[in-house]
Amino acid sequence: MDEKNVLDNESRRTREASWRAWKKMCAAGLCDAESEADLRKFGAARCFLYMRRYGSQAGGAEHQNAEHGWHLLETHAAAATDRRGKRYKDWLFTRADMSSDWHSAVESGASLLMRDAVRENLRRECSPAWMTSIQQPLPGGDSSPLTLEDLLPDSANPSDEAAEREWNELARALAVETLPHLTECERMVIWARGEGLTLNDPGLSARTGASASILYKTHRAAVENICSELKNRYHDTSAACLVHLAWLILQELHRLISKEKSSQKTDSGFFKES
Amino acid sequence: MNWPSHNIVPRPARQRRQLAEWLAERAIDQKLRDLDEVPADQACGPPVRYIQASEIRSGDIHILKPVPSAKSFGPVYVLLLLLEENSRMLAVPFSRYASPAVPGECLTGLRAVPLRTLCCWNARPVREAQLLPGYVKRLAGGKLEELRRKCGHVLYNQPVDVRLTRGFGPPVAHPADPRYAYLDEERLRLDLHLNINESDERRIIEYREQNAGQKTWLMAAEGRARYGEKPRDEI
Repeated sequence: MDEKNVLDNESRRTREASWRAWKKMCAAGLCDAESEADLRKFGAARCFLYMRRYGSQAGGAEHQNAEHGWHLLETHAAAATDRRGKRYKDWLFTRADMSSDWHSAVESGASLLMRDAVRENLRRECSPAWMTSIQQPLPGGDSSPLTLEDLLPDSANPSDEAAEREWNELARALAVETLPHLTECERMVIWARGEGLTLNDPGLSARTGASASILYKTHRAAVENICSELKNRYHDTSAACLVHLAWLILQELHRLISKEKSSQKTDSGFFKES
Repeated sequence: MNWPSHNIVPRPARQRRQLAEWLAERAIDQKLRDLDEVPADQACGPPVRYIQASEIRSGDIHILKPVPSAKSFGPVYVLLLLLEENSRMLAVPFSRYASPAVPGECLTGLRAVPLRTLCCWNARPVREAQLLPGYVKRLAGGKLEELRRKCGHVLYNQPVDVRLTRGFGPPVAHPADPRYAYLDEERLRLDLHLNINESDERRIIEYREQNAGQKTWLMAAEGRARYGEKPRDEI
């Protein structure tokens, strides 16, 4: 499929009549020719854009698959082969009926369905999961990329209560050492996680003045820094021990930060005991 | 350095393989999602009215009614379950992904793309008014019983046959695991669809493995735990 044609199709609008016809029929292929062509062009354009967004890893599949974009959507969105399995159409049209701009809403809803269909297609065709080494850095890490082995190390368990006390003492000493190096925002996210709060909590964003995505990045970077420090300091130690110790340090940091904040009157509302 | 005394329990290779599959799917999802900044829209007109009332029952699969606040999410499929431990109908959402992310998610054995993985951990009470009318699929017999047992296992720690323990996701062991963000996101997806507005209420999303064999699990809407401590409401 020619890229210029696809992008031309992307900028044009579909006809409302095409969507209405498709709602009544089982599939676009059973609609009148004009509606079918309209929906297929829409499907091809959206499919192409998603494929291209995935980038070169799609291996040029965007051109081949875009032709079948609408078919991909109809195949992957259905939960069963009968009419009931196509209730996603009810979802799409209810969503549009709730909107002040029916046309944009139906197109954006269909785009969400297309996104899921393309994701599934890429997962089947291009997913590199089967060849991921456990020592290979995973995407998304900032300071020190994590590997599969880091994320899922063997488990380390203290042998007995005395050993557990020793682990806790070690963690306490390291937490006291770490605390002064944490920024205010890092303290907040470590505290929040220790409380079991999600980082997309609006109260947390208001308190820190940072968006949820910044809070997630901050948390990840702070934890990765702690883990990275441990790795550098105890480089000949198993990942299992390091992760166990990292959890204990975070637990201890949470306790120290709670104590520190509860003594500050200005924060008492947010750091309420629950 | 002499480390405090401890035992090392090896991790099954299968769990890392499962995690690699999930991470690969997640990476694709995140790349595609950057495209979708859906503009804010004001709801208008009267609410949609449906002529027929549907009778919901345990084992039915429905789609949650779309809501204006969740415009960037696709349809949410849920399995309705009445469990003995809970007198209210629960909606157990299906994952958007093919692979289970955490031990609270399991493969269903269903072939349809939207129904392959069940997020038992994110189950919520549901009212009929929150569902699109008409079931998508009706499960019965062995399949329904299997999924009911799996949910009971996750939510109420009920023992299950070894055969059924296969197909659950890998544990979360690292504090910087990207699946924490995914769990928050999934919880929010359900909150928005079920019109839950509890920004002031502190709710747990702690889901990690503690020591070997001791899995910490909490429902998204119940209790809370501290780092490394055994949670109060462990189930």
